[in-house]
Parts: sequence; structure tokens; C-alpha cells
Amino acid sequence: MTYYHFQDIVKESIGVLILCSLIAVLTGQVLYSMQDQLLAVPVFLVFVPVINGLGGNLGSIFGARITSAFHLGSITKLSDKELHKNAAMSVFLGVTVYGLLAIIIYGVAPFLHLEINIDVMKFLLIFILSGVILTIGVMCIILVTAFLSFQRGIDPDNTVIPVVTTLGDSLGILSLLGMIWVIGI
Amino acid sequence: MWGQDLIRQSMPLLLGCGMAEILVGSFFGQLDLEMLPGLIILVPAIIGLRGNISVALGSRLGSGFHLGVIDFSRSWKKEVQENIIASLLLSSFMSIIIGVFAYGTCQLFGLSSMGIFYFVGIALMAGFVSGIALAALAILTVYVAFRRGYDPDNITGPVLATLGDVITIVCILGASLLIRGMVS
Repeated sequence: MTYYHFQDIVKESIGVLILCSLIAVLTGQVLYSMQDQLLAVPVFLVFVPVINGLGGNLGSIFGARITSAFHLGSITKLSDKELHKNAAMSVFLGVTVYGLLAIIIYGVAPFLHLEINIDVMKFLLIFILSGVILTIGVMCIILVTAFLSFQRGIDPDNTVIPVVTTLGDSLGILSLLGMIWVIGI
Repeated sequence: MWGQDLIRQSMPLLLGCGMAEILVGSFFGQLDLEMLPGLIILVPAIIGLRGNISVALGSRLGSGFHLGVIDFSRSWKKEVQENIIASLLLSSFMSIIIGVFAYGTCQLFGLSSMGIFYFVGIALMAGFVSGIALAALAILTVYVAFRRGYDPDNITGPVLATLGDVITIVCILGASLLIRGMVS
């Protein structure tokens, strides 16, 4: 007899996977609706995975720190100083990393045969602002999930990460497309 | 203190992952989105699915290692086998579901799109091939971590999530070229 059985793994995973896939397909539909704008400025397509990947990473770091602080009892309510420090530091980290990556993308674009056919200021603003909006959005999702779980006696470690990875991708694409729409190309 | 730690420990990792994602983005830019209308819908869904299934596989292998049921000296083949079968079954089944969802939502919203055969074919091919590659990578990662005396739980997540994105987008690109070539 083995400890793992594929039937059990499949049965326990399939529900949440179907839900996540449906959300991801709807996110894809949002991308499809803006496909013409994305193809007009091909470097925007490079932004999508970078903004999402980093948003997910920043979110999982912030989420892991917040849930540990919950378990340690150093954060119990929204007005706790410890929470403000963590939030400020994560936004700072987000601005710095998104800023550095914007410069890196700008530098490697010619090697990837990507023409940056928009104003440099617009390029930087769209990338960095959508990254920062995503970071702040992801932090809000984390706080709501963590506080709700905590109040109901559920361990936030089990809820924060799946919620963040699923909603974070959608939010990343929405904030990028929102910024393209607001700032214009 | 905690602030400097967060920056010092996370920044290099974040920048490294960011560069890998730039690579993903450049492959994304090479997809023939105009010839295959609706293909873009599959990209976030398959990449997300790949992450969910493979990171869970890595996490289970890590737990199995901690439990002692996967110790790379005895009886681990059967445990690993069950995990891989589960991962590949989920990959195949969910890829078909994603293809159907993508086509179905296009019909629902009245959008022009490629046929359902394209959606399901590309999703299934990309999902299955990347599933095999990621399963092998998961085992390799856990094995290397084990050999070096690291806790696999600290390594599999970021490695599989980041390399998974790169492998998956390459598979989507390959599958879309192949399917288009087969049909036209």
C-alpha cells in the first residue's frame, strides 16, 4: 500500500482547479478584448507576465509575513503599527523592483526584437504604476482574507496564498489594461 | 532591522524571477495572435493551471519526503508514480476544460474566435507536454535538495513556479505552431 493514491489527489484538487481555471479564462477574455492595443505596442505583451509574476511574489512574501505575525500575535487589528511598517516596506520593495525591471526591459527590448514605439515616460509610468496598483490591491486582498479567516478561526496560511495567486493574476492584467487606458498610447 | 532584511533577502530573488518573466513575455510576444484569434485567452489560464498543479506536486513530494514515504532509497518509485499519474491526469483533464471554457465564453460573449478544435488541441498539447516536463523537474528539484541536505519545501515553490512559466509558454508557442501547421 502506498501513502499517496492518484484517485484521492485528483478528487481533492479538481474542484478548486476548475474554479481557478474559470477565473483565468475570464481574465484571458479581458486580454482578448484589448488585444488590438496590446499588439499595437508589442512591449505591453512582455509586461503581462512580469507584472503578474512579481505581483504574485510580492503578495506571497507579504502574505507569509502577515500570517506569521498573526500567529505570533504581533498583529491583531488594522491599526497595529507592525502592520503599517510591513505594508510601507512592501510598497517600497514593489516600487524599487518594478522600477529596476522597467529599466531592464527597456535595455533588453532591442535584443528581443521589440521596438518601443511609445514615449519613454509613458512606458515607465504604465509599467511602474500598474505594478504599484497591483501591489497595493494584492495587499488589500491579503488583509481582508487574513482578517476574515482569523475571525472565523481558520488558519490564514491555508487561505491567503490560493486566494492571492488566483485573484492576483486577474488584478495584474486589469491594472495594466487600466493604466494603458488612462495614460493612453 | 526587519526592513533591511526584507529588502536584502527578497530583492535578488525578485529581480531573478522578474528576468525569467521577461523571457516569458518575449515568447508571449511571438505567439501568432492575429492568425489564431482567441489564443491569448488560453495563455493566463494554462500558465496559471501549470503553476497550480506543479507547485502542488512539488509540495506533496516535499511532504512525502518529510514523512519519510519518499526517501530515495526504497519504495519511493511507487509513491512518486501515484503523484505523477495524478498530476498528468489533472493536467490533461483541466486543459480540455480550459479549451472548452475559452471557446464557450467566446460564443457566450459573441466574439469571433478560432474553432473549438484549435482551443482544445493547443491547450491539451501544451498542458500535457509542460506537465511531463514539470513533473520531471519537480522530482529532480526534490532529489537535488535532498542530496544537498536542503529542505525541499524552501526550494520547489519558487523554482517550479518560475521555470514552469518559461516551459509552459514555450509549450503554448510550440503547440500553436504545430496545430496551425496541421490544419492549414
